[in-house]
Amino acid sequence: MAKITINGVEQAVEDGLYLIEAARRCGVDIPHYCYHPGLPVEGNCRMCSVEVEGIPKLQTACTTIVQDGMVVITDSEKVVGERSDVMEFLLRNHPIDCPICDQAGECGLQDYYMEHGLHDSRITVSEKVKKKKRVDLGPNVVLDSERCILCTRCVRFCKDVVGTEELVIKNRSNHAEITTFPGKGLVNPYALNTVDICPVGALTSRKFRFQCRVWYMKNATSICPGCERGCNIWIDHHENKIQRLRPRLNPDVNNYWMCDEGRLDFHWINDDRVLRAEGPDGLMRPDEADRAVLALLSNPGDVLIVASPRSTNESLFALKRFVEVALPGAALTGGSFRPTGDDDGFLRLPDKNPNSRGMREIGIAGDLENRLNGSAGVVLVFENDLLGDRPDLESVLAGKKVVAFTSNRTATARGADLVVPVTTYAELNGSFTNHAGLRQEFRSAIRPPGDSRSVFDVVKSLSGLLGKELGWESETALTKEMTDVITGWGVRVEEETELHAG
Amino acid sequence: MATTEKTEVKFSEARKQEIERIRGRYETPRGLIMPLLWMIQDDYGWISYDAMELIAGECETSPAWVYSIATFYTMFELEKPIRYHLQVCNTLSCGLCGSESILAHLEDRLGIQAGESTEDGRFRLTAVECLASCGTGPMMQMNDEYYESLTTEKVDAMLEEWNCD
Ligand code: SF4
Ligand code: SF4
Ligand code: FES
Ligand code: FES
Repeated sequence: MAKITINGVEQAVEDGLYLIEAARRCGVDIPHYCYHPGLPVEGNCRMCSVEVEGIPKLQTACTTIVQDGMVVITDSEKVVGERSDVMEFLLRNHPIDCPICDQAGECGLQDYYMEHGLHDSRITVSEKVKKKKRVDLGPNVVLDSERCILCTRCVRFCKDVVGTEELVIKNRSNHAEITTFPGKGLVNPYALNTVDICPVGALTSRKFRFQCRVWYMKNATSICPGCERGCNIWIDHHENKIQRLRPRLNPDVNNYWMCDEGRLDFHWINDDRVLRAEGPDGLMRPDEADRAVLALLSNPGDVLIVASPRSTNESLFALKRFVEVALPGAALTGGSFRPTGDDDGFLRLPDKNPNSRGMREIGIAGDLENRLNGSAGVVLVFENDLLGDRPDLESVLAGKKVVAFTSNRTATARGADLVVPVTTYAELNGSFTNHAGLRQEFRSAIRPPGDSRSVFDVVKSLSGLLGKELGWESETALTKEMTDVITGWGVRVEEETELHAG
Repeated sequence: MATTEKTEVKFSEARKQEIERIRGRYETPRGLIMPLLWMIQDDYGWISYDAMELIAGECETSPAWVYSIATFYTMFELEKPIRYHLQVCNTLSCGLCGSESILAHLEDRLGIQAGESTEDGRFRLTAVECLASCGTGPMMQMNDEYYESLTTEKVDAMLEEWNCD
């Protein structure tokens, strides 16, 4: 531990920390642009300059390592003046086109100008250096060169986090610009993280740009269902539609990052949803649907229930209990035919389901293929697009009565005799257990559309019709029992995470 | 900026030996980027994109990284060489000593804007950042040579000389 004094208050901080981080932990925010806790330091923007006793010149807090006895002042006239000068230089050529800029509302220039700038411009618009407003860096990222403050966060992300060295600064001084090598694109599978860490509106997401003002959006904490890593994410939504996904800091799982594939895969939640139950005679109310399902369950020995590693632990636990209590004799299996990917050594993992481990630990057998080839004449498929993933299964399912409990109009839904809408992870409180055995909870972000119900509600209603009790008053009671009985699933204390980390 | 025209670039045997000789001087392979850029420029007169890719391979880095360094220093020629490449320093010290009027005078005399070449392909004019000769501003670099403490008269005399050859 080192004892340092910040603005007259003595504090003990960990050895080896950069001053900016030490100060943050003591509750003192030092303004910064180029510093990002997930990247190596560079110290190029000078915004974090502070006074350190005994050193005549101001020091950059992001490159200074704390030393025992250090006396630091972050709010003197000299420091405040320096910040305002740095702001003036940064805004010298800035186009200030906030009204058409996606970053407006979460922009480092706007925020710090209000806090530390407030100078009048000495430059007229026509004197500003003009640069390119729309450079397609790659398939997902668009650059506005005029807005760039050359902090090199995006450069360091490509170099030091993904190791591709795709982005660099070309030229010098007024001519300096972010670029890829001529003829090459920013194509690494994590490119959109540069948009998150760009402190200004220079890098924007092609999919998100001009879609929604950030101040309209609400944020919910969630977990990406894209693979068994389970990156922690924010779901940003507006008017009950998901607008974008962003990574949420978790040093044990994904740090500050997520992959582009996971980030961009949410349109299925907004679009093409099954809103009403549907049978051979057309649309049905939920209670009608449940009775139609019930009519197929008269001989449990002929029933196969297919669970999915895309379902939450809570849904799977409820499903298992449902079979045990209300449908003894029926078979329960789980698994997925989703094509696997590669382990790329960073975040993305081969299994593209978020909860395979959870399903295993709950004790649902993974003998899906065998079971499907068995004799069961009635198959209830929960959140599993069997036919979408394996079209050849059509012949196997032909001749069986299939009920699809699904959020979307999947191939399986199209081939089913009965379709019952259920919620997606974005409309549920629940949890996934990732490849490493970490059970991660998330909160519902948006309202379930139409008649969609959670799997818990569906099986609760079916049990009721069968005259059986699952034994939980609420989902909270289910979660409590589940985390009590499965080793290592005790509720984790969520670390407090910042909304806009870095 | 570099043209897209193709020239086959490679390091000669002698160059390869030289590279092996100096490799040990640098902590990381990346340290070789600058000397290799000079070698290419000396051998070919300019540095093409292909050459940057070649260097990147040698230095275990991306072509983008080499491109960044090559564009930082205006001493590196990224276009096919031209008889007279005039690079006028545009930075503060030279600016205070009147570099703007030197540049304007050259634009006027050559009938081109900074960043352009004359139609006969003999002169290219570029405004560049500090060439580290701030004490003798205004200054410019013609090919590899510095011309310092410039006045419009001096510039006229130079043009006279260069135009005759
Ligand atoms: S594009 Fe953004 S992150 Fe990259 S250097 Fe410019 S301001 Fe920084
Ligand atoms: S690595 Fe996996 S969990 Fe993380 S964002 Fe990508 S798909 Fe989602
Ligand atoms: S944050 Fe310290 S110099 Fe940029
Ligand atoms: S300012 Fe012209 S050489 Fe430095």
